[in-house]
Amino acid sequence: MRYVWIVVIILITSLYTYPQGMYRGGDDDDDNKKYKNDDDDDNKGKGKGKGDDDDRGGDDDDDDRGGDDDWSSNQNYMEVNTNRSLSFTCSKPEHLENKQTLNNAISLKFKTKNSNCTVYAKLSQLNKPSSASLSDVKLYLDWTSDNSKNAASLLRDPVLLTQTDQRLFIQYRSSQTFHFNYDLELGPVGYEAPAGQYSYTILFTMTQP
Amino acid sequence: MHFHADAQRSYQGAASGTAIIYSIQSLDVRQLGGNISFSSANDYFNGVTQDGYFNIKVKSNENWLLNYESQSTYFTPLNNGASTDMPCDVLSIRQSGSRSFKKLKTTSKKLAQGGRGGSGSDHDFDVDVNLDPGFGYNGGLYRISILFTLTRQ
Repeated sequence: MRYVWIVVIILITSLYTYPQGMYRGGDDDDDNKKYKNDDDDDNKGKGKGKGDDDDRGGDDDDDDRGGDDDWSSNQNYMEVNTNRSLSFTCSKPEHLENKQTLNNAISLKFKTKNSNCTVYAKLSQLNKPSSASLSDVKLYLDWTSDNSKNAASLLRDPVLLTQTDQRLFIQYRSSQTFHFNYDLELGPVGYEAPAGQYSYTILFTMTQP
Repeated sequence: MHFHADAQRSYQGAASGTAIIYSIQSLDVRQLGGNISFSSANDYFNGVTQDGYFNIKVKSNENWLLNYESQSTYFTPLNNGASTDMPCDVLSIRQSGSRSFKKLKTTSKKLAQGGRGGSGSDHDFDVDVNLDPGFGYNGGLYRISILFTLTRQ
């Protein structure tokens, strides 16, 4: 008779803990189960959809991300968006002898509400033919536009990317969502660069002091 | 893509792409000299040399090889009475600065070679010609075409 009473207590406890039923697949947080599989503390969700695990609720920023503002991310974040394929092709002498431009290639979208920020860019990865040197591929970021009214130290001329961070601009703190747009330029490559395929990664870093 | 690291107060994002560079070569041959005239017995005894008869510009992003050959076995006579059997090898050429001339043949022969690049004396040079027909052919006006071929090594 004692064992029967114990079983009853367990059943009642379960109903209290999961009043809406149990979800499968790693959804162990205490949210409203809108975004399944998102158990972390950010607002992005490693699964599908954005999660929301904080207790503040509401969306008081001016971005278009929606959802709840996490003080550690939504107020301060950076996105790098490529608006087109970042591929260059050099198939005739003119391509080697002149600069090639991918217009409106890269856009930076960020918020820096907590403090001022500085944005840098560098070549973080360059795969090249074995006989090529790092200086054979000359990639430039060329600022075209932004929606900031008070960016400082903005480099408006093309910036030759190297493997060392170069400061693109400083942005003062604001609740605004900022957009900075860049063309990507190649070359002139010249005839010293050996034929082959080069692949590269441009790393943007936003730092807050 | 993007990610952030709050502890470092640093946010990063990356963009990746490619650049495909094909094997590209360019050859520009300009004839700087005009007709080569034989006006004295000495010209027939010793032949006539004209330095800098051609200028050649090579642009290549591969190591390259420049060959030359005659497009015909014999010079083409352009007037009545001119010989029809003057062979192409009475004409010789050399890269300016070289010591010896090389006879023109209908088979391809090496004139110069070099590495990647598009400028400098290795890629922009003159070619001298020497015409030495001797006394075996009739006076007249002759023409011959030389084919320069640029290939990668």
